[in-house]
Amino acid sequence: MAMNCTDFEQEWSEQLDSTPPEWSAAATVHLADCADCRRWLALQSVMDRAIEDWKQQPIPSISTDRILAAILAVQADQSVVVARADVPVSRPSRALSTISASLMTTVTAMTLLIVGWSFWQPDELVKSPSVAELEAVPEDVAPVTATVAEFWQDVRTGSAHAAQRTVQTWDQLPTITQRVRVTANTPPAESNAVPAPIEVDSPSSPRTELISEWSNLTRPLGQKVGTALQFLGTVLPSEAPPAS
Amino acid sequence: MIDDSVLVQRCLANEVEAIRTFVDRFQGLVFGLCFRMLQQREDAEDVTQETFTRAFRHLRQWQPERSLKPWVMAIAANRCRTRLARRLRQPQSSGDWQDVATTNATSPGLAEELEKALESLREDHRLCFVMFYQQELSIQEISEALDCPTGTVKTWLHRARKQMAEQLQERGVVNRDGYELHRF
Repeated sequence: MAMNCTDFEQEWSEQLDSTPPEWSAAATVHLADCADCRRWLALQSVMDRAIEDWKQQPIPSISTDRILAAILAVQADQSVVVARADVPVSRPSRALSTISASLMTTVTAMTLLIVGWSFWQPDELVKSPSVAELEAVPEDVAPVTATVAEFWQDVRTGSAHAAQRTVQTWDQLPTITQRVRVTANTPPAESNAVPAPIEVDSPSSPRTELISEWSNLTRPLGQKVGTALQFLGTVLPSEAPPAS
Repeated sequence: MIDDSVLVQRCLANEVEAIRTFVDRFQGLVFGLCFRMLQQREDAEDVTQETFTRAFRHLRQWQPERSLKPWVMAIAANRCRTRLARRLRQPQSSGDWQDVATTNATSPGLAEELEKALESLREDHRLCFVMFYQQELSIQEISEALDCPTGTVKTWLHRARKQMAEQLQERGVVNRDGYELHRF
């Protein structure tokens, strides 16, 4: 079968890495008959010569020491990273850190509001029997701040997995639906800042059930505190904070 | 000459002499490729340095069953591509980076004409051409370095030569019969 120009070029291309090319019989016959391919081959000879000239052009050299210094600097950095990685401290993931930071901010703000409110509210309300009952925190209930501090300590020192498990445990806690009514003294009508009365179903043991309607507290401060306490009542149902 | 895998093991053990041997073995190839691709000495030096630091950072990923040379050249090729892409985003005046073209601008010979023709090639073809003709890598080594079949390497080399030859003809360096015109 006779070879065409494309086949000839293809055969030449296949032999790029063999010098000189070893032509097949078909290629030799085609070359003898085809002036275009002879011109093309002559052009390739010029190209070969041009490439040889081009290869002879001097290329500047680069300092080995410069490269060596850069490599050693990188290796020094890597050894520092490895040394740091040897420390058995597991850092929480970024998402977990964000959640933890948000939670801490919320709890801190809530605690400040509670403290502020306790300084602000009138003596008669504090001294009212029902509220006094609310203040009687059972011995076996840990303060909220201690619990949050413990959780935060877990987040900081424990593994990310352990902290995630803690959060998941909170998610699985049952929703609080009981409505506890606390009977309190009616606040003075002229003061908008005094908390509204809170109704209690079982005044003898107000801590046994949780208050779910914290938002009934007096506005504006009471509303804020109520919202914060409602949040805490949801996530920590067994450790509701005192109302004062 | 130390075997590749032995050399790498010694480099991984932070033996300075082994690291120096590694650099000595490949710096000519790497810098030559960078210089031909980037045509500017400072850029070529920077990219050569980047190539070696990157190679040492990832030296544990090198597989002993593969040849070390194409692995290093692959890193160099990628660094060149990155630098060229950055140049496109931050265009400079040609005088800032053409060290090669100005070496003999007054009387351009065949080599200078070829250098100009080389500039017009697409990156893959140019890398292929420089690795094969300047660095004298085999088709197989180029195939490994550029991560493409050997057939593709041959096709790229053929197209590169063809395009450059056409340019030499257009510029009057070579006539239609394929003979060099002596213009000097």
